[in-house]
Amino acid sequence: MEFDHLLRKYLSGTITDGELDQFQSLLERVPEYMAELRDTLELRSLLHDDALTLTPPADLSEHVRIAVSSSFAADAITEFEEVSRRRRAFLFPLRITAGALVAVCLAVSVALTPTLPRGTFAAKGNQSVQSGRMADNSIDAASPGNSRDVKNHGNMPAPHVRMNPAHAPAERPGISVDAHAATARPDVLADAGTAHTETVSTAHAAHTDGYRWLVDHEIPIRMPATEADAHNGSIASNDLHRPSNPALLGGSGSEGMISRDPMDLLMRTPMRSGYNPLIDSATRHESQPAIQSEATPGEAIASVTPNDWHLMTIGVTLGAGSIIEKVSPTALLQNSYYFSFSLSGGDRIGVEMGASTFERESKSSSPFGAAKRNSNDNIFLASNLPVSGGGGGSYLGVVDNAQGSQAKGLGKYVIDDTPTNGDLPTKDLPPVPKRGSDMKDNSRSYAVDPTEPSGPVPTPAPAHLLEQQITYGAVFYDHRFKLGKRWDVCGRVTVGAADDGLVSSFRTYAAYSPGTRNISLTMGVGSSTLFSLSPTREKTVSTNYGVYYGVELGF
Amino acid sequence: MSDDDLFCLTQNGDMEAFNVLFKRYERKVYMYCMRVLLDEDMAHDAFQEAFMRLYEHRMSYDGRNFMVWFFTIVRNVCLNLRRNKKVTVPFETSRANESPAKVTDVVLHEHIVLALNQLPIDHREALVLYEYDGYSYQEIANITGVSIATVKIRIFRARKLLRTLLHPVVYDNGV
Repeated sequence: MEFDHLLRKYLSGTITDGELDQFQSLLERVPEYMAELRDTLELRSLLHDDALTLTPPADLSEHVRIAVSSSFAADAITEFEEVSRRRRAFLFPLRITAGALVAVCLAVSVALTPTLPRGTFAAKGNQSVQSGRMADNSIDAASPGNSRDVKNHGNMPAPHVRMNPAHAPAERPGISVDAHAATARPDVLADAGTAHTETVSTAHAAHTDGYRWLVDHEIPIRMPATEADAHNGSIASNDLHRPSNPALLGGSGSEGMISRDPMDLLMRTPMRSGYNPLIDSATRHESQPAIQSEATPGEAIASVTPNDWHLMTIGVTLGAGSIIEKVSPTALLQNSYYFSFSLSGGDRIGVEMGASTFERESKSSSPFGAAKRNSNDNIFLASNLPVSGGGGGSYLGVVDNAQGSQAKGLGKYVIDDTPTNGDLPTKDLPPVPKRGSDMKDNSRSYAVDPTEPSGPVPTPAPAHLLEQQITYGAVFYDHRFKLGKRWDVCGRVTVGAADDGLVSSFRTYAAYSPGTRNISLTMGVGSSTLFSLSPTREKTVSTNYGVYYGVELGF
Repeated sequence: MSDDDLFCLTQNGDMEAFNVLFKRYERKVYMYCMRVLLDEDMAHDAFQEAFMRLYEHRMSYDGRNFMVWFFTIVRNVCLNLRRNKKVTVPFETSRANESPAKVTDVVLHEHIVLALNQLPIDHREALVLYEYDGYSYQEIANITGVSIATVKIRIFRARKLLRTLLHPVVYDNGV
C-alpha cells in the first residue's frame, strides 16, 4: 500500500524529496515494484499517445462553435431588446403623464394669463382700467383753461386724434370711463387706437418747477366731477396720484390717496424702480431728470415686479459634455425639460425630466465587430449586429474570419494533478518517462496546451458604442441673482431618480431675457452624478460635466 | 482570464469570450466523449449536445467553477446517450495475440479502446478525466460527485486493469 501511495504521488508530481528517496529505495529493493512502475508509465504513455490522436474534426468543431455562439449572441440581443422594451413600457405612462401635466399646466397658464398679478388691477370708483399691454399711446391732455397741460412725452408717437369723450368707452376697449368723467374731460386728446397712457408729463411748473415723472399706464385717473369742473375740465393734480385701489398701499378709502407732492410719492417707490429720492432730490429741479427706469410709481404701487420670475415656467435644455472616466473618452448628450413654480422673486422649484445618451470608444474583437453588449455599462450597438434571418451567411463569414486560424496549436499533452479549473498548468512538471526506448533517456515532456490559440491575441478594433439612454426625473430648486435688467445668474440643484439609480446635479447658468419678457435664453455649465443601483454595473458612481443651452417660457 | 469570467462575458453576448472558452474545452470534451462512449458517432453527438446544453442551461450557472459545472453537463449528456443507446464492443482477445508486424499504432489505439470498454463506466470515466483531460482528483471528485478517495481507488483499479488487458499488446508484441 505504501508503494501504491508513493506511486500515485509520483505520477501526479506531488511527491516530496523524502518520499522520492523512500520510493527509490523501494524500487531498488523490490523488483516487482520496478516492473509495476514500468508498466504504469508505459500505460500512461500509451494513453497520452492515444489522447494526441483525439482531435475534434474541424468541421464539427466549427459547426458547434458557430451554432452555440450564435445562440448566445441572439440571446444577448433578445435580452437587450427585452430590457429596452420593458424600460420603454415602464416609462411610457410616466412620459405620457408628464407630457399631459405640462400640457395642462400650459393650458391653465394661458387661460389664466389675463388674471395674473402682473396685469390685474382692480379699480374702484367709477373708472377702471383693465389689464393689457399698452402700445405707444398717449393721452395728450391739455387744459385750455390754465397753464398746466398733460402732453405726450418720451418715445411715444404724438397722438393727434381728438377723441370724443362720449365715445371713449366704445372706442377704447379696456378702459371704461363713465359718462360723467367723459363729459368732465371734453378736452382729452387721445389716439383712437390706444388703451391708456404710457407716460404722462405733467406740467407742474406752477407748483414744482416742471418736475417730470412717470405714471403707470394702469393707474386710473379719478376725475370727480366737482373737481373737474373746478379746474375747468382739466385733471386735478391730486387725482393723478390717486390709485383706484388704495388698499394696495396699505390703506383704504381716502387713506389711499397719495399726496400730490412728487417727493412723497417717490419715497413710496421701491429703490429698484430707479426713483431714488436722494438722487431725485438733487435733480428734481431739473427740467428733464435722467430717470431711465421702466418701472414706474404706478408699478410700484401695484406691487408689480416685472423682473421677478414668472409664476410658472416651462423650459427645455440641451447639453453636451463628457463623462469623467479614465478608460476611454466619452461624449455626453443630454436633454431635459422642466416645469417650475416661482416661490418668491428669486426662488423657484420645479420638476425636471430628461435623458442622457453616451457615446464612447470601446474595444471589441467580437466576431460581430462592435456588436458587443457589456452588461456592466449597458453598452450595445445594434446597428452592427448580424442581420437576422437572411443575414446568416454574412454572420458565419465574420465568425470564420475572426477565429479561423486560432485552433492550430497542438503539442504534447502531459497529465498533471494540479487543479486547473479548466486551464492547463504552466509550471514545470516532473519528468514523465515515455514508453519504449524513450523511457530510457527519461526525456522531459512539458505541457503545451493544444487548445490555446497559438498566435498572439489579436488586438481588438475600437468601436464606437452607444450607451443606452438613462432617463431620469427629478425635482430642482433654483435661485437667481440679478445682474441687470435683462441678465440673471442662476444656480440649480437637482435631485431625482434615474432608471439605473439616483441622480443629482448642480448647474449654474446665465439667463438673458430679450425684449419679450416671457422668454429667457439660458446658457451654463453643470455637473451631474449618477449613483447606480444596478448590480451589473462595475462603477456605482459616474460623474459627468457639460455645457447646457436652453430656453424657457414664463407665464 | 478565468473560465468563470469568460463565461460571464459570454452570457452577456461577448462572442470573443465564448471562442476562447470553446478553444479551451473543445478538445477535453471531445476526448472525454470519445473515450467514455467509445463510439465516434455518439461522441460527436455528445460533443454537440454538450455545448448546446451549455447554452440552454446557462442560467443555472452560479458563477463558480465553470469547469465542474460544464463537465457535469458533459457527463450527463454522455451518460444519457449511453443509456439510450447501449453499444457494447466485445473485447477481442485474439487481437492481442497477433504478430508484432501486424500491430500498428492504429491497432494499438483499437486495443486501447477495447480495453477501456472492459472497464466499468465509473472507472473508465475517472481514468479518462485523469489521464486524458488532466484533471486532478479533487476536480474529478467534484465532477463525478464522489469523494477523492473513491476517485483514487477508481483510477488505480482502472489503471491496473488496463495494464492487465494491454500487457500482451504492449510487451509481448514489443509495441
